[in-house]
Amino acid sequence: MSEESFLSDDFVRQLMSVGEVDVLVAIRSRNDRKTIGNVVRSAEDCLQRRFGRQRAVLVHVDAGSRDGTPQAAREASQLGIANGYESLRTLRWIRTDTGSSAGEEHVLRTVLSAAELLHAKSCAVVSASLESLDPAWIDSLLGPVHREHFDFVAPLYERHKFDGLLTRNLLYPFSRALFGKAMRELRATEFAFSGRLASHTLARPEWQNEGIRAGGEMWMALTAMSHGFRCCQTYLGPKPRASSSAGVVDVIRQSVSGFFWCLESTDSYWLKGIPQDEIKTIGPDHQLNTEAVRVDRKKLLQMYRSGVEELSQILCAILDPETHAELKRLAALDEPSSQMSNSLWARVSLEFAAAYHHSVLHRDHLVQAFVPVYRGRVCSFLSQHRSDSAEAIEADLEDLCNEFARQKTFFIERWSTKGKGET
Amino acid sequence: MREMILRAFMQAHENFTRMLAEFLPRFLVMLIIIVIGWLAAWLFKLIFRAILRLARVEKVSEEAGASRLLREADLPSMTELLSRAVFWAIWLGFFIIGVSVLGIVSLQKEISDLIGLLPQVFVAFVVLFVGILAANFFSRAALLGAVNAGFPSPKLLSETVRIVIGFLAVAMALEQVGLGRQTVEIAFAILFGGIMLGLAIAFGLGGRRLAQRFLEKRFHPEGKSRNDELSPL
Repeated sequence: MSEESFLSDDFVRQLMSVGEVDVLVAIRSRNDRKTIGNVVRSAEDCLQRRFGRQRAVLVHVDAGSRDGTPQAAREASQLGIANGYESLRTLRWIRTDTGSSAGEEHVLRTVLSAAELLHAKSCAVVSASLESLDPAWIDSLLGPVHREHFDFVAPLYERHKFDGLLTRNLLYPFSRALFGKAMRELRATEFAFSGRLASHTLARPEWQNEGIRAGGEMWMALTAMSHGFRCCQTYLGPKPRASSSAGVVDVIRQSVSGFFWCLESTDSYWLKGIPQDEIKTIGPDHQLNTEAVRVDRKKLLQMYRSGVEELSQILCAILDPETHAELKRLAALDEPSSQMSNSLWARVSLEFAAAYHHSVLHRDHLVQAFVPVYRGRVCSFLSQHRSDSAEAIEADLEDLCNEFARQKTFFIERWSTKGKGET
Repeated sequence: MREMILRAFMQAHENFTRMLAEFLPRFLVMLIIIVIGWLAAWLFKLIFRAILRLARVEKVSEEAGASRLLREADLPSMTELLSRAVFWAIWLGFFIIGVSVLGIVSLQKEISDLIGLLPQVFVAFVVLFVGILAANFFSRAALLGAVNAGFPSPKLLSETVRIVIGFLAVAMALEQVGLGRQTVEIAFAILFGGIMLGLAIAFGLGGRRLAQRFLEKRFHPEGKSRNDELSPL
């Protein structure tokens, strides 16, 4: 689909009236009336203070909000109000609505198209669902693109030691093993990119594929890594909780299927076996805090047990008999002994990804069958690191990354040969 | 008397020879048609199998869960099954044409009735097969959904879905071939209504608290308990 056909006439008119820009900040929203005001003010503040000499535009892409988010954004805007930081050039504000039926990928594609049509050199995307957004975040994201000519900037946060476990246990070690780059936040809601990368990704044929709906941002990050674009990650600070938190099952269905699809769309790159490489980190590295948090571990364990038992037939079609037997053995043990090791977790994840590639089941069913196993892993992680320091958890994460890297050969073989167990 | 008997014998012999002379060529033609039919069916089977492999039917079948169903029933793969069906359909067609060459009136009527029924039988089989696939797919979806939501008896729910859809498919298939049309309809209505009523009573009485929790979660999302404060991403 060409840009002209999927962007609305009104939005194209707005883009034409803006002309060319140096910096673009996009705010994505969907029913974020309560939080968008702060995000808009932070973005305007940052652009006026830090990019006052640049031609800048704020693009608000709303995905069919029904709670008055666009009005809240307009009301929150400080443009035209004297605040002592007026930019030397006019800061423009444009908006579009992709409609509630449009997927996340449609929003991303709209932002990329806007960046290309405006010839923006540096672009940042932020989510309107953040309860607080420090203006410095946008500067930290845009800075490496604007001043150091990086093409993709991923964020780094300070997080609770038990937050983002899917990212830390699956997306990060898995992508690091295959792509050779230690990008921690692969599925970020805040990131920045260059105009060059925007044009490159827009021209890719993957937009026509259904799979991109679940993992547009991940695909963009992995495309940047696999096509020789300069990538880095920058520390932003403590990650605030998003206002609307979807359920675990929905998040896993989206993220895991999106990630597995991304692996499929980039396999011509990583199947060659990419060696480990450094990725520049700006500011401090990923940080963990260890505040007390309430988690129902018993419930997680019980859901893991019932999942492994009830889904035995489905897991049997996905996993090797030994891996499946090991999961069943763990499920039968009491909590202290029922620990899913890094080795077993890596093996299970790799076998699920290969089964997804070979479509041994309907793909959505396959990803849903992953949920109980993830719960088992989370339960093990919580028990194991209940009183551990951030350093001990980091050491264990490094061990997990090594485990994924060690099993990479097995995975590539499994991926390339049809059916489990066939060589 | 003796002459009459001899003449009768001669007549019978003559009739038999004439009938044999008429029947044998037809029988031979029938055999030739059946053999040609077997060869044509075998050839079509090979061509059809190659087309199915090119069209990656096996992958579609694997994704839809049909292959697993076939394996469980100890049946050959989808490609093999479809190409065998084509073989038998073509050969049966030739066989029927061959038999009709014999010119046996009562047999011809039976054959024409059978030929008239064939499309309906074929459609009934297709309906049944699609129904079994749908039952398998939706029962698996129900099982996964129930397990991940932490429902107490996921297998019961999954099997109920499978049985209801399976029964609906059987009812539709039987209706297609015109067997016990009303009986099947009534039986299905009774069974389906019974299950729904049973579920409603079970949910309303047995699972009163579950129903209350469900409705509270549905209509008062802000009051929902957060069992797990962790964000996976």
